[in-house]
Amino acid sequence: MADLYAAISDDAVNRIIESLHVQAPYLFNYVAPSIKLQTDAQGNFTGIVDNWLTCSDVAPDPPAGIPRYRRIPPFQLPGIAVKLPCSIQVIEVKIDFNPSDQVTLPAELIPPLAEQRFAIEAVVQFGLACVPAAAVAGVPTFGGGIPVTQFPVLPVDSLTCFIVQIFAVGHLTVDPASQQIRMEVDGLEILDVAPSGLEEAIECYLIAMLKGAILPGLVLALQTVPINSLGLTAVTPTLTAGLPNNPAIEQNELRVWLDLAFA
Amino acid sequence: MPVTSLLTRTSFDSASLASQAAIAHPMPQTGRWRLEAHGPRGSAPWVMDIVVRDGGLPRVAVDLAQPATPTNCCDAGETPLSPGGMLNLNLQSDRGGGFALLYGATGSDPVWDSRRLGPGDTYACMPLRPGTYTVANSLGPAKASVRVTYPDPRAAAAGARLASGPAPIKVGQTMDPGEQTIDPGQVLVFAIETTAQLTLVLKAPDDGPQQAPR
Amino acid sequence: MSDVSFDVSQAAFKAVYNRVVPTISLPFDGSTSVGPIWIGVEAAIHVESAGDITFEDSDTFFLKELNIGWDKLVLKLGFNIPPVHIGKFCLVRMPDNAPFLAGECLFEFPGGTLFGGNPDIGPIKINLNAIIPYVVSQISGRFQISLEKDSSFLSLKAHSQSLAVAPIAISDTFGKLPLLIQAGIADAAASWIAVNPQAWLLDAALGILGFPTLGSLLLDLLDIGPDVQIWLTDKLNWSIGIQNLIYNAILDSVLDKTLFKIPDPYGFLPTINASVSDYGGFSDPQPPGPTTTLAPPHADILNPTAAFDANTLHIRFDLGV
Repeated sequence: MADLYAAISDDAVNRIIESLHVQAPYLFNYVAPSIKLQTDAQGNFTGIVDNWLTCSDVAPDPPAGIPRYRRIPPFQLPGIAVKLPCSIQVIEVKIDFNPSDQVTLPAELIPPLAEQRFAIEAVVQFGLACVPAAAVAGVPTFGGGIPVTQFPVLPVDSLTCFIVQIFAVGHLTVDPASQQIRMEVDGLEILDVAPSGLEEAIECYLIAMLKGAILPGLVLALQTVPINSLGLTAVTPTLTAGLPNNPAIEQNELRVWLDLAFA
Repeated sequence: MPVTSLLTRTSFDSASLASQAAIAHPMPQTGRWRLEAHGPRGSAPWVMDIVVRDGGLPRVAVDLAQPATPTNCCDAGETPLSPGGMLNLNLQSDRGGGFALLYGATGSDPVWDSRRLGPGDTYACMPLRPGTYTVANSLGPAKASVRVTYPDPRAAAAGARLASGPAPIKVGQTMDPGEQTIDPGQVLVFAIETTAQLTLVLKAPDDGPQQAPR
Repeated sequence: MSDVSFDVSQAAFKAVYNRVVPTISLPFDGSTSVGPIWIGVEAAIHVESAGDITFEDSDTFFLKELNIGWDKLVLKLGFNIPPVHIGKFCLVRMPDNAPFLAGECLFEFPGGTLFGGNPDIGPIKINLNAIIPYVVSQISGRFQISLEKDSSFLSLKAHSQSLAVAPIAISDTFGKLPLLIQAGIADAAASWIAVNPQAWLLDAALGILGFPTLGSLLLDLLDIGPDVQIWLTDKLNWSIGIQNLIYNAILDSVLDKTLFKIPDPYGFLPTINASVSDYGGFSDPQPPGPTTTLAPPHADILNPTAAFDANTLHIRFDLGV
């Protein structure tokens, strides 16, 4: 019998995510800010400040001293000499553990949600800067004759926004040697991007990005979180062997069984 | 001294009773007698009445230090003694000086003074201190010598037991036996046959074998 | 269904309990008079570990054995030698065939009293630490668990409901115990003699009582009998009541233990020490310097429960989000 069993319901996870939206909005709002040029009374250039452009306001105000946005680097497109601001805002994220009762999967992901699988529904709003023609042709200048390529990022004061609804299904894997628990994506679907080839390409690109870059770094500390939650110290947890699924996603819960070695 | 010092006396005088000693006086005549008891030196004397009659007690023991309390029988304040019985006197005190005077129903002179023992009286004492004692009669020529043995505890371990019980000596013109040896705990019983005031004095203490493990 | 569930096995629970149950050395002492002797004990024990733990219905568990270690065991003895009357016997007796007062004692010597005062010898101390390995003590107890809010934690605590201390036993000490007692008595006798030098009186008293040494008299007063272990356990358990002394010594230490501490409010992220330049849109007040600390998001713990069921401790709670 395992020494310690811990479980959390998907309903609780979703409520935590909603609470994080309010208490830590910087987890959901990634912005490469634009810039504002500052001039003196004579119109001479004096400096630049960040201009945090987003598509949606972050509301309500976060708690005192907490930021709304996490800075991401601006991106560069070929043929455009200056880097471009953007914003990626996760408006909504919902997770569903088997059996499915929180997320309605699109047909492409072959509902119902299979055993030991989780489903994620996310609504992501992207904001991109429209590049003025003047920034492309030749070497334009701004204001006091400073070439735009001298700026760290293109100065704009609005973004072009669009919303994407993404569904994903996946399961948990355990590396047998290191016992690290990771998420693996089985399928990903972006709703209603036309033409369908573009949708598939973006889906393919996202899956590759998740598998290659994001998920490998996302190790779920399912062994240490239960230990720390109970205030135990000097204890080494390992996943209990010999169980059909450990960790398991079942009965609307994420469950883990641990053996404890007391120092 | 935790072990009672009432037992460390090394000199005895029948005219000055103290601990570890006693006097017995027969009272064959019936009648009423008054005993004047003198306790430790410096204390006030006290009196008690003794009635000698048939049916009385075989002995009446009087602690000269303590005024007597009536025991039983008879009228309050009287103590009955049988005509064949004896008056026993003792004084449980460190300070000596105990003696008694006996008065008859009439007459102001005492008929008996314990400081001058006479025929029929008995004096007893229990010297515990090992050594050699000299016994003498201050009112006569008789003398004796008594040796109190040193009690070897190892002999007790081997099963030997100290002798106990009375060691009799007759006191007349001479003392008989003139020499004797007793164990600590034994009592010398002097049967008086003449006028006597007996003294016992430690002449040579015996401190036993040195460094005996105890 | 609760938001969060934990199940703890009996084995893990016992391991956690054993983390918190050991105590420092706890001293105690007690004494009593038994006839001519006075006997006392000066000791110290500490709680080492818990043996078998069995979960019972809902919120109690039974600890079959609380293992204790002895740090100190000192026996104290005092002697009040009973008075012995000597020389009280009849010096003149009427013969049995006398016509009157036949067989009566006419002159009785009053005698004297040995040890008539209150001569205390001792108390002496005999250090019995050498037999500690042979002392067997058994303690069991029933405990109740409860969840209690404790400043910024929700603590799972175990409270002692009842504690039973069995009489102690002393297994075969291979001759050590008799030697210790005899040596202690010999020392007591020697010390007393050193301050009471009238050897002849002591020898006379011993000779009259029939003991070769003061030590043998004291040993006789102890009335040890053929088995010293039985004598000692009898005195410790039934005369002094050492079980009660042990009980009172450890009670406070085992009364209340905290086993688990759940942070309450529960934090979802660790505290982040951040560079201000990596973030934007700070809510007032603006961070004054180049670095700032981002307080972790948290939620209160609601509806917590803790209950036993067969071999498992179930802890359940909801999060106030």
